[in-house]
Amino acid sequence: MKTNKFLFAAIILGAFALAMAGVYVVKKNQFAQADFTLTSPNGPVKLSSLRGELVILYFGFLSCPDACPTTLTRIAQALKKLPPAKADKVRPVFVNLDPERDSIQRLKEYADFFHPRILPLTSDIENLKKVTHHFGAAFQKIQLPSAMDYTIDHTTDLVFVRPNGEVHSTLKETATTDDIVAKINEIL
Amino acid sequence: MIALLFASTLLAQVTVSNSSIRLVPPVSQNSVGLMDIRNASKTDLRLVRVESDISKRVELHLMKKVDGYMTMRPVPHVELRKGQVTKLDGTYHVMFLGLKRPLKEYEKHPLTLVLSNGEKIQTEAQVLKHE
Repeated sequence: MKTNKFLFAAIILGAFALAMAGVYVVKKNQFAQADFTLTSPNGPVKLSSLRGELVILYFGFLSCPDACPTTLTRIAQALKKLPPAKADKVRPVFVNLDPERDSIQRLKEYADFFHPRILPLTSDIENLKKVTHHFGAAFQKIQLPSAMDYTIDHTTDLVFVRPNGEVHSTLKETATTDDIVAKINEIL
Repeated sequence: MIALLFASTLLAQVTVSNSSIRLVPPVSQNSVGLMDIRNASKTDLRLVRVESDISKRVELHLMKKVDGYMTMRPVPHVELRKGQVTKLDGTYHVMFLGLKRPLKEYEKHPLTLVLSNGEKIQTEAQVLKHE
């Protein structure tokens, strides 16, 4: 009887282990083909729907005083330096990391100030964590002894995604306007 | 009297140049102030506070990259070493929190820098696009 109990426990454990392994494999596969739905000013947008354009992803937030406006200004200037037909094939995306404070309407006003082609996207924290992880970016909310209450520490790489959806490469936040133009010309 | 004279000599020896405020989208509630502060005196000093009417609060912040993350933290003061120019160039910067109204390019705003010796220095910062 005792042996039977052990056998039963072993079978249950084995089945559980197999199930976990299965979940892991499925998760891994899902991740490989990951697509994400985020909120744009015009409603939900799947990142896969941006295929056909060279996407430049930048992750930031509206209260970010220096790094974000500097990078968005450089992206906007890079677009202005390109022939219009080429600039129309580039889609800079500003992924918001502070959904608690930043509404999509305010993000649209913010992005439009730099360039009308910059598409702001936002989502809930859980989804944003998945998106940033997928593209090698990261962020964390940090409480501050400041009137700001909190800030968002975040990575500042620009992620260049080919029109077919594959990540091409990244540039550091120190990249100049000309560096961004050169990278676009390398891809398109 | 001699002490006062000495103090007033020190006062004239801290000067501010290239003061600017970053032009931000009207929807932004925060902006940054940048400037170069020359401490030509023979004493190390500290910038302890900046006063301005453009925002509800003014703080001193330090932005730097730590472990791949761009971080920003308030700092109690900025060191102004004797005989040196300290650049508030975005790494250290003045942080304007809660702008009272949207900034306009090229408009100028008075700022008052308060030093650790109690001295107050006036400067005028122009609103500029920073690249």
